[in-house]
Amino acid sequence: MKIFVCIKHVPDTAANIKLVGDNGFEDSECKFIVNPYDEYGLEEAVSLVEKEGGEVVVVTVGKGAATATLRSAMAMGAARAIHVQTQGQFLDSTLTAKALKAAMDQDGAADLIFTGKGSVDTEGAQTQYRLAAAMGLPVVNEVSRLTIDGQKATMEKEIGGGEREVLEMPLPGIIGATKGLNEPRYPKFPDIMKAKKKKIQEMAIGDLGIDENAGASQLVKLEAVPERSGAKMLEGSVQEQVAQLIKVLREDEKII
Amino acid sequence: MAQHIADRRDQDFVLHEMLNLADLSKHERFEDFNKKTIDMVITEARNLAIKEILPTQAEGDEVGCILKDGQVHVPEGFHKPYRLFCEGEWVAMCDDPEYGGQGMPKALAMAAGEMFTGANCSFMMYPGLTHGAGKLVEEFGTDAQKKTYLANLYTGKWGGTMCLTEPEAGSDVGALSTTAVRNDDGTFSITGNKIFISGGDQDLTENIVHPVLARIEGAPAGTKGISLFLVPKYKINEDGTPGEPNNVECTGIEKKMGIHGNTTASLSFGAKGTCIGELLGEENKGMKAMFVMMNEARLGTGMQGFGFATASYINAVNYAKERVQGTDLLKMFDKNPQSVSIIKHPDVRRQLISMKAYVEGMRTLLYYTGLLFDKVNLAEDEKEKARYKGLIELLTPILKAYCTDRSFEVCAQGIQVYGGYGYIREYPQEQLLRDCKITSIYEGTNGIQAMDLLGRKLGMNKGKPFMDLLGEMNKTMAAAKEIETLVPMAEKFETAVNRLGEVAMHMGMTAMSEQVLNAFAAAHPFLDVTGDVVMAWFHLWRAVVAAPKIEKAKKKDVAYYQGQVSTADYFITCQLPTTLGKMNGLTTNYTPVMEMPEAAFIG
Repeated sequence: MKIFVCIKHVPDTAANIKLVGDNGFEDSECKFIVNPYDEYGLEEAVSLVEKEGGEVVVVTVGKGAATATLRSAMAMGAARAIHVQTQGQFLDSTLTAKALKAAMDQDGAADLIFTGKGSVDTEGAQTQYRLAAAMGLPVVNEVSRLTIDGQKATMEKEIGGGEREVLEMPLPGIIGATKGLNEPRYPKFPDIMKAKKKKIQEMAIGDLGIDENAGASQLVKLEAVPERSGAKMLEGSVQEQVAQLIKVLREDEKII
Repeated sequence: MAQHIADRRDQDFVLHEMLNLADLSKHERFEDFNKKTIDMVITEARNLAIKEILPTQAEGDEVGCILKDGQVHVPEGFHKPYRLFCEGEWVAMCDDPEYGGQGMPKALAMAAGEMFTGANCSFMMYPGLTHGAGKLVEEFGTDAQKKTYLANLYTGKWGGTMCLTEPEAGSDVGALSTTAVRNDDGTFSITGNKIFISGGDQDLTENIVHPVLARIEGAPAGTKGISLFLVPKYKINEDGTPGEPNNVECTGIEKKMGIHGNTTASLSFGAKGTCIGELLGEENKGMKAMFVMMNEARLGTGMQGFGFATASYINAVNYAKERVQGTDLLKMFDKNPQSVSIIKHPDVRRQLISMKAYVEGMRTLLYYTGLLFDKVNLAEDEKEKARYKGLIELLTPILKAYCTDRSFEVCAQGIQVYGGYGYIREYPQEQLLRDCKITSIYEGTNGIQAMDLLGRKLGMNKGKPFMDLLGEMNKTMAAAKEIETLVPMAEKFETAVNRLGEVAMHMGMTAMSEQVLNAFAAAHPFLDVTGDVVMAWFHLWRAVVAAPKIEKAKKKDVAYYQGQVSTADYFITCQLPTTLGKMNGLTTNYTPVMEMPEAAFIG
């Protein structure tokens, strides 16, 4: 079984992001990780291959520094990596999907492709759908349970209110993984050592015939989330506090 | 980003900028460990430490170990990280790959160990002692013993301990009374009681291997008649799996000031039936063998103390930046002065820089000593090898005692920075202090370490290791004198190094004169001043590396490098004069200590 796992090199969610200019941030100062949702896909792929045999190939589209993220993914069990290199920090998801498709086409077809349900940096949650459309493959996103049976994948996804939808999909197809699917492993020490020797195939996005500045959308501005104003302490008896609360909800916040 | 446990930037500085650890990859033995791999190893160790081990620290303290029906249960939360730690194959980081080790440079293992130990020392003692027991088997075991025990220990599948202490044999191990009686099949029947056995029983592993010191019937008294035995909790079946109980009984566990998550067991061997042990190494050579484990344990204990200090420091800095209290001294008479975070207050700042100076100095000492082990392994001739070994032997008591004493003080300051909140259990600081205290006691009290330094290490090989150490310091001093801004610091350091040489000579002479007791009364303060000068050396070394980089550094590094120079300046200019004062005290021979009659202690 050959499985591609699309991973994204994203800033650690605990990182303190410093904005630079209108639409960039200081990336030399923050720690990057494998997008956490992609890790669920990676773990699933690696466990499948451990059981069934085959090969897991991680693919990323990103700046040169993403190499470290690919090494982490290989320490978790991917056999090799493909790195489509970009210059900019952000790439429009139409282009990401195009680049992923081109890189995968070059490498040869797979039985299954994993992505995360979205990335924790831009939270677009577009790429898996665009990739599916481009490749003509079925796609199911936010998968939290998976069984593979021959050429068929049976999946569960949360649909809110504690309900789950059960879906079947013929393979090959694309699965957007989410929390609950598994518990991603910590790399074993010997695997960390092996990861260093695993192959990363590098290519510039331009070599795939893609102009990274010609995306369908454009990032205009990045802004820090405004800090929330402080909590209001209501004082007085319970009755007084309730009266004040209703006043606040009605007049200040206009919620009721 | 709030950091945890250890300052990653400083870890990287020591490994890459001071020690140039990646240079080891030029040698075949460490060829896999280039800079990228080193970074990746630390990143993954950090991940595991912060995400899985650190969250168990408070649980370990609050729940502690429970002895029920003769079986010790460790805190529930320890099971998962123990499994992950073993699965990740972190137990035997530096050992020979032939025996299941990972062949990592020891300096790097120190950095990884800092993360693990700093995350939860009580937890780490289980795999730590297991490794130590494995090391004994690797060094002294027969092929059959290696086959039976080694892989099980180095993978953490079985636990290990270290059984020396008995009720009447603490610091004086030679007084032990556990006996071994030879059986016809070459094994021994062990009878006796051991106390204070860390990890002596637990439910993390399917078997526990106890290296036990005992005296074979008829062997000489004292340390010369002690042999070492491997005594498993469960007898081992022919297929290598654990079988019947081996009559090693846990008769009690201690209630302690700290490290509640690590069980401290009383073990009774052979009280209710035959307890079988296998001789490990030669008869009557048990002490020598045990010293292999003890030396490792001493370095490990220094690391433990340090782990508490680094965690306490990081917590204190994070807290001091966030905690808003009081106004800026310069603005206190303004009409509506704004409150500021407490890191702005000079006294808090002084405490933090003092903590930083000790933490970073100790980090350097630990990693540097690790590197000396790697250099022993890579040494091309015997002379070079002996030189590095001499430095290790000399630094071991300093590393153990100085690091644990200073760490306790750092942890106390770590509470002070938090104020009242530091004293309550809601915050981690008070636990770190309680946990830390044991480190100055076990694995040879710090008093024993001081005696080791003065009585053995100082005069060892005609004082060559000590002279070598001063020689290394002089190299750094010469480099510092080449950098204009560091000349004043270098000169102050030079005064201290020269004075240390004089004091050491004085101490050595006194120890060989009829005033020998006076010399030993001053042994601990002598260890302290030696440690202080070692710290000053490392700070000067740090400044030598950092100062020339400030100008061209990337923005994020400028403050870090400036901080290195300021910390060196603080330690050498503000702290070192106290050390010189203490040295003056040392040359007076501490005469009142032994002069005062014993009866005078309570009138």
